[in-house]
Amino acid sequence: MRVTQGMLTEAFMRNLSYNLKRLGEKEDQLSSGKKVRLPSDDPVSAVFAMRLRNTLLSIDQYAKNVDDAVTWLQNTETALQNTGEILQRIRELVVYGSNGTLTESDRKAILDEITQLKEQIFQEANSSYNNRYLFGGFFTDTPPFTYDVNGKIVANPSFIKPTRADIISDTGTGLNASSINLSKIGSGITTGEYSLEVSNFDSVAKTADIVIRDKDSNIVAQKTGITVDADDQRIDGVPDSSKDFVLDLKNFPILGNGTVVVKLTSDTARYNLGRLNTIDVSLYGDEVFQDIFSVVEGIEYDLANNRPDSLSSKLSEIDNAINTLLKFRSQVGAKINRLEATKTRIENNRIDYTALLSKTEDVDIAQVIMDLKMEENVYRASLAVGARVIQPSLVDFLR
Amino acid sequence: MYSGFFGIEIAKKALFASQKAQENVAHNVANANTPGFSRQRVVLESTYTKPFSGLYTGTGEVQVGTGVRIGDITRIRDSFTDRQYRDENSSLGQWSVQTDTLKQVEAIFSEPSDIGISSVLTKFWQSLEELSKNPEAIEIRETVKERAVTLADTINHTARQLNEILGDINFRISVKVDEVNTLARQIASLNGEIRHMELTGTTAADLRDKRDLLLDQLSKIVDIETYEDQNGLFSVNVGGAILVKGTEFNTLTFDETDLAAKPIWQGFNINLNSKKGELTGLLELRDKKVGGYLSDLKTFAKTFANKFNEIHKSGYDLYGNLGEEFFIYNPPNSGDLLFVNNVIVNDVKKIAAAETSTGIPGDNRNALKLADLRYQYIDALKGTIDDYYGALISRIGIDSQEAQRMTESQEYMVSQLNERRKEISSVSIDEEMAKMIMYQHAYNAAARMITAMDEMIETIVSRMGLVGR
Repeated sequence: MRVTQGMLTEAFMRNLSYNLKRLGEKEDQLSSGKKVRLPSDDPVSAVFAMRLRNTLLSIDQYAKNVDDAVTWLQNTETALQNTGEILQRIRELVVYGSNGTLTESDRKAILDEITQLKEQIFQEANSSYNNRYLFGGFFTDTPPFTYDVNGKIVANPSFIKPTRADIISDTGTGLNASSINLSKIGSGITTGEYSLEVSNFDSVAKTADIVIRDKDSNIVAQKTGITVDADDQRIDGVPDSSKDFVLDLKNFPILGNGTVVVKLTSDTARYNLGRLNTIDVSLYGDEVFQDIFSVVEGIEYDLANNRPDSLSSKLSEIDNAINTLLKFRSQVGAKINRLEATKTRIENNRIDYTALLSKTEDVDIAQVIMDLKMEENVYRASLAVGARVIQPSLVDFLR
Repeated sequence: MYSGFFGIEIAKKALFASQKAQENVAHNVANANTPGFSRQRVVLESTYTKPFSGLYTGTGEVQVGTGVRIGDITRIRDSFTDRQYRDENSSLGQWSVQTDTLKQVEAIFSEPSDIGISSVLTKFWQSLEELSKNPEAIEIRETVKERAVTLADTINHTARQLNEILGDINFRISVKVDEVNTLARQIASLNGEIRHMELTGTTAADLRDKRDLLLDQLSKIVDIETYEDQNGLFSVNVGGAILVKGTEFNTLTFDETDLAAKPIWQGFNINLNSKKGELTGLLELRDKKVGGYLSDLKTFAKTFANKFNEIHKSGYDLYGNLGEEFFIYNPPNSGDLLFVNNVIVNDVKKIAAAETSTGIPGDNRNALKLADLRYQYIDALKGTIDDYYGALISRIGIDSQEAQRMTESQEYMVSQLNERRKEISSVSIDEEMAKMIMYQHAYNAAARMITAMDEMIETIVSRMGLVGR
């Protein structure tokens, strides 16, 4: 092979710059601490690292959600616990008050205390956290309970407004739950089961008649000749428009005659605990406290009117109220337990994913330092070679 | 019998030939580092032989040599290696032109990091989670709005930068097209000169070197084929079309303002069809790569905006009204991809977190649905929103990595072939020095021959016939 000075110089330059480039790569890795800085360094790892980062951010968010849910539920539990203690005290007073030897003035004294205790329960039922009423359901900005003109405690009427529809059964109408337009429904329609009877279905004219009955089979709304595949079909309420139903049938038209039973309920707020994993955290005050208030108000009435016999019969009612309360307390307790388990899992996930991310994109320092040293040596060697590339030629030896 | 002066004539020819050869050595040494120079050799040949018969010859005539002459000065070069070199050089051009731009694209997306679209998007999802916990809180709604605006800005910024890169690529294409035209003109004019010089049958070595150097440059830009017929007509073809034929050449035109334009043969209205080279690389970069990323980003922004709006419009805002468009995709005359609806920017109560108007303000079900969009499989994207974006980033990474690797391996190939060429054509100082000594000795010997001849003639002229005087 013929070798010339030019070839040697060029090969030297090429190798030197290649070695310097590799040295630079290792220095980059060491100074940044990252194996993958651009997707092209390792496309698979880069995208994986990107996902892991996002997963970690989501895990942080879910951990926050769990903490918030736990705080909310603990506040709820405290309110329920306080209410339970107050009910126990009321029970004692009722036992004492039903004693036949007490005078009317004795009972009046008990009444004063009961009224104070009722006021305390009222405070608990309206307790709030972070400016949101704990027992308000979706209606976090209005007090769940207020006094009416007669001095009786009443629940926020919005509680009985349905916010969710579920089909219980269907005998051939093909009606979909989302067809019931809850936002346009009459104010007189409350939560509960309703049956929608479709008759005289005409597949050519696309019309049908519809009768809506409540749980007790009373007609609440009816209309003849609705269009079976159009939106905004108003079923006129009986006796007035406060019981109107509105059906949106464009996407899910009625397919035939039959009866469909729909359950209208109020939903509660749910928190995200993970991918497609939610928990409902709020309680509607009317479910928890309505019975309690009516029992306590009954006791007040008996005491005020000096009716010890009726008072003693209230004992079983108050026991029932206490049991209901306990049921809700155990529900809340179970949810807190579930949240704590979730929290532990999230923490473990966080550790696992952090380790995985580090493994994916962080350099092994020891390894890189070793590599760097190797590259440094190679680079030094090539520089040393450079000093020898300009060899003496024949010129130097000719006379 | 002939005069003895013929010997002096032969020696004189030798003197001149050696002198010329020595000058050739000087030329080689002088051009030892000239780019594209190939070493030259004088082709010495013996001159005609003269039939000679006479008293002292045998029965027939003998052939007597008459000396030396310089037949040609040729260059030492292997045209096959040249062809291989140019072939690989085209591939090198195709990939190396893409490497830097693709790295730039990676930097624009800046993934994986905390400032890329991916992180901004995740922060937006997080704000929706917060909204789901506090649907009535104005400050959380403000966060959702701010994160949405940041997301839209980040996507717009990325799209704008990709568009700028597309414009840059078009500018580079037009520069390369001009370069091809200039090179074609130079090659055509060299063709004329070479043909003129070589009419006598000798080699125009230096002009050929110049032409080869231009062809090397041209091969980096487009994929070329070269032919030289027996009459010395030299032509260069690009993708089956004639770029240069003898002294004639064709020109390419390119409309720089059109982001879909291709280089066109002027006067023929046919697209340039080059399979390799920088021009091909730039077109591939513009149409398939950067252009592809931009259209993927558009699909991403559009689908995201549509799906998000769909859910948002099915929910109710704090006023109890149905939600409006949250994002506006590609509004006319804006030049940008994504905006947050001004109605929402001005009044965050218009963010529809509730599923029903009756559940306001605590109904968070629509906010949950919006947050869950993240995990929803979307047919148009063949995966979730995050999947689609991840696939885009991995595509960019793979393209960039491929370009880098191909450039590296082509650089190696080209430098190997260049070494092969140098092995054959480059000047070796040692070798030239050896030749120098050789020709010097030949010159000295020829001079000595003249002296010897001179002495011989002197013997005849001056010394003979003295006997008996």
